[in-house]
Amino acid sequence: MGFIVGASLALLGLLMAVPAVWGDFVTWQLGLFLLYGIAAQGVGLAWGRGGFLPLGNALFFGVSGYASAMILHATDGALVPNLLAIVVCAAILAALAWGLAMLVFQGRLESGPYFSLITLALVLIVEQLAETAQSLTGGFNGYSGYPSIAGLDPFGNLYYLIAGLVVVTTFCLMLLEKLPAGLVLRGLVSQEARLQTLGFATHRVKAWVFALSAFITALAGALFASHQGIVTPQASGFVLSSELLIWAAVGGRLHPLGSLLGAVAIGFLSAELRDTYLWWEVLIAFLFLAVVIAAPGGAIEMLSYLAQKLGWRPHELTVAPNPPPPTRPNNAAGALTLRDVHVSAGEIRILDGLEFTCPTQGFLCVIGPNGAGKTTMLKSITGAMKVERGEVSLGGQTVTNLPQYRALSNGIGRKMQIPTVFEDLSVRENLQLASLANRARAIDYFRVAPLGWEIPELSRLLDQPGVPLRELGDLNAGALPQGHRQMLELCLTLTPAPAIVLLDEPTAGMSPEETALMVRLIKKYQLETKAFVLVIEHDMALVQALDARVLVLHQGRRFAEGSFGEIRSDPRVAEVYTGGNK
Amino acid sequence: MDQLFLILLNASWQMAALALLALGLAIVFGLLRILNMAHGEFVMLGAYSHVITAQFGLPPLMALPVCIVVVGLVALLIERAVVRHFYNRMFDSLLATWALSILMREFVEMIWGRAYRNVPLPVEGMIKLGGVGYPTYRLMVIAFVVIGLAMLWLWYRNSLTGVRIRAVVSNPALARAVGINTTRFAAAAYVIGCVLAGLSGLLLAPMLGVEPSMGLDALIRSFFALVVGGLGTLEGLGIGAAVIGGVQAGLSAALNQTAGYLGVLVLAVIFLWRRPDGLYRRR
Amino acid sequence: MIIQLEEVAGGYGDTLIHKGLSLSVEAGKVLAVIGRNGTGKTTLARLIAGELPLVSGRIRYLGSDISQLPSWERARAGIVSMPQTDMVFDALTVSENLALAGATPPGSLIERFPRIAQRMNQSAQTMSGGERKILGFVRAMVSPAKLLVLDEPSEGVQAENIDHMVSSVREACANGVACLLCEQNIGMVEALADAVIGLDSSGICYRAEGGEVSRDAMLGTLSL
Repeated sequence: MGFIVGASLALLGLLMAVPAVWGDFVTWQLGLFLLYGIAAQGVGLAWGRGGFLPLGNALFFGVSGYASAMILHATDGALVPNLLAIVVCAAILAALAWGLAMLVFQGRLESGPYFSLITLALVLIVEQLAETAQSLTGGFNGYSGYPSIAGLDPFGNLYYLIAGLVVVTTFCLMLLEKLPAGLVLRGLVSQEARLQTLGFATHRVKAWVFALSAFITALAGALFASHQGIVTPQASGFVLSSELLIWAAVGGRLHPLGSLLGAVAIGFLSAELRDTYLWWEVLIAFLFLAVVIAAPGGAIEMLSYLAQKLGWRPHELTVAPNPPPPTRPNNAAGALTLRDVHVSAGEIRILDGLEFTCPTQGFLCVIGPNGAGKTTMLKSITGAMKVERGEVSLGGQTVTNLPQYRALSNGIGRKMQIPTVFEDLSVRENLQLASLANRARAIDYFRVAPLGWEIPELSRLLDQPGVPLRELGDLNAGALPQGHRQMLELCLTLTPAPAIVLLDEPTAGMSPEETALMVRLIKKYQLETKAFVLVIEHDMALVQALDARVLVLHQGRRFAEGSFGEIRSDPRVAEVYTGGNK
Repeated sequence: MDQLFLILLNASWQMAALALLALGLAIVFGLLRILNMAHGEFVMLGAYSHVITAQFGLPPLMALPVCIVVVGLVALLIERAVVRHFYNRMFDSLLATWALSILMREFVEMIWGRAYRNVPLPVEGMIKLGGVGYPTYRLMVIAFVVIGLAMLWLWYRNSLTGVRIRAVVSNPALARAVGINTTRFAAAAYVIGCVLAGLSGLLLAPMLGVEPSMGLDALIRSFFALVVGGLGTLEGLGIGAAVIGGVQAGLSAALNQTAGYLGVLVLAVIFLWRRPDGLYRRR
Repeated sequence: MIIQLEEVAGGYGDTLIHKGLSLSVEAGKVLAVIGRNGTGKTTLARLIAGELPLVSGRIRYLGSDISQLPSWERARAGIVSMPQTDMVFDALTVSENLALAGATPPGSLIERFPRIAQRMNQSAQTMSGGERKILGFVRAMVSPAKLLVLDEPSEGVQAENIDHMVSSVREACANGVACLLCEQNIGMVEALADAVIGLDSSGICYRAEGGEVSRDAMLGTLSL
């Protein structure tokens, strides 16, 4: 925390020194690019931390600018009404942004292109409206003839207001990084599907990110009106939107200082050089392409890399361990039942009238030949695949076809067939994210303490001899070998303490020792939480070790059910595996 | 009555022009599942082929081979150097092609500046149709689009190459198992999609204002036509172009151009929300 | 020697399924690979077809090292695979599926599988699981092959059609085609195999040739 405060104060100091060192004109120019820098921070937030590409953010900048100009005109620049108006206008734009994002991102994982193109169309429309609505906006020539806020001189004291805003936004965004909210955002960009199985409604998360992005961009746009004395359609146009993207990318969209740096450095240079050198814009475009393809962290990441070579270490936040709140009560509880479930992929029927009832606690192993529908069954329970006919219910309450992020609130946790962890996050951060799942309330995402929650279910797993995850805390999850990855994934699944645990081939790719360890971990969890654990497995030794009831699936239906001994000696089951008559 | 006929002709023109514009995008998205954000810039390059041809003092008809060569080479280079690395990664391919579109725009701006250029109509004059005169060139383009799409559809459904294309899209691993070079297929699909975009720019240039950022409008309207019609099928392209083109023509005539644009956007968002697969379900 | 695998290792991502597998198939012979789900039969088929890269080791085909050869080149060189899942083109009709094999089915094949001839203009995705397997099999048999790689062709197929498959493979072998057959159907293996390899989670657990092949031993590798 001290680092963030220190960096912000340093920034403030730096900005304050400019007028004294470089005089009024440079200060005025810098003021403009600082405002663009805040807008670039907004874009960087949406793109780097939200994982979507907004192609039209200048519309928030310009619309807020026009609104501020009009209100300054009407109130003759009075300070308090205008400050109020700025915040209210920014909030309205943020609300609209929130609504748009909710609409676009709901229910689809691959909605990136749609979002980008809709924001592109919007900014073009707004630019066109600004140009044609002469009576309102002054049209092509712009809206002018209004005083700046509180009569502050753009070549003088207005700069301090701008500098103040920059420091505030930079501080807040850096703080956000360190809080649980920032961790959730990094998980979102890393592996959205996994975040949903941890109960996060990712479309809502993206909507809040976009709203915040719109809010700070609008604040900057309002001050822009005072700074320039005129608002033209360019302020809400496509070209500015494009430039914001380029500045955020080249500066470093993953860090608020990066976006700021990009806007100030490249913006300044472009203003100086673009008229002299015709090829300047092409060069910048090349730079943008290079960053997009090869260096997503931009300039700030390269600077940080150099600094680390010289011995500087990024500040690690340490939080004292503290007890977590209990898990939220489940929305539904009881025995998991499938009734006449039909699921298809295209025209091919995978589940063909699957019907069975699970016990409320204990183990059930599901086996069957390839194509029998085992993984599809799990997916249909959590909402990852659509159930066309039939019903999935929990203790009588139907949970069929609910969105994936609702599964955990119903007490269902699922471990995927291919171990899916948050690859770009460290092992410790993976576990911190899982610790937040199903426990954190909204306010907890903005407190530091939840990063130190010690979840009893997780501690029990990590304390088991042979589990190396505590020691590997700082390692990137993507670098883990398969066996450790499976263990991490198991921890992610069990930490939110689901009452129903669906494990899809939990020991695939593990050595016999690791497999035995996993069996111990799973058994321990079940014993302590009295959960119901459903395991899909091919390894018969594992099935035997779990001493569970066995369900045999074949051609999308229940084929046989019984104890391990009964199933093993059933000749019909043997035929299913050895190719008897179908 | 004449007024109605004129409106119908205008609507047909809008629909045909949009279908032509969106064809290249439909092919690239339908076959490769990537959204080519540089689609509009290939349209723009095609339009600039007229400028290049005039600049080199070549006869105007040479604009056609110039277009194919220039657009083809640029597309080939881009596919090899950039796009190839982003198949199956939708967000990254979006980003990379967006960056490329910026680069292409800036490049053209550097060479030819930002000024609007006027391209003369290759065929002047009007044809009288049922009491109404309509520009000959537009009628030619409408006819070309209708016949061309019909022939394309027939070819796709009946030729062995059409079978191979559908095979690769349906099951790339099995396609390789029957000896189809899927890498070369992807490159060809991208280049052909871009060349078609260029050709649409070439044909439509006399009616559009030729300037470096003309591609944005083409990209947006093509994309929305595909969203409404159904991403990635010829039938969807036809339906989408008809709906979007019709709505835009209608609203622009009734109110103004911005209203037309806004109407298209609203329609696309509604479709996205309610019918994400578009009107024509991919079988 | 049509194909030879030398200490081949490969798998998915970080997971090695095979750590050093060696086998060979001769012209006109059938090598059966048996084992339960998850033991690596499909992985082996994909390594030979070229859909999975070799982590180490070599594959020799007709005397040349094809370890780096892309899968479509291998197919053109005569390695014809029938995958276990997605073995037909769902978007195409039966006749279009077969057209991609590059030749029309000979009369003997049509006789054995009359359903194929009857459904020529039917879309493959409307067929049942067993019928799609048969279509995939016929497509593989029609393609010009020197090595057939069949991954569980009998799964979901009726007994009499399995017998027809056996006859078709025998005919191909009589013409010098080699065959690698991944299967769990012991009956089919017994009818066709000149040699058998059994896989379990640690690798090859059983090897036998010709008369040594024992039904009981094979059942043992498949038992639960």
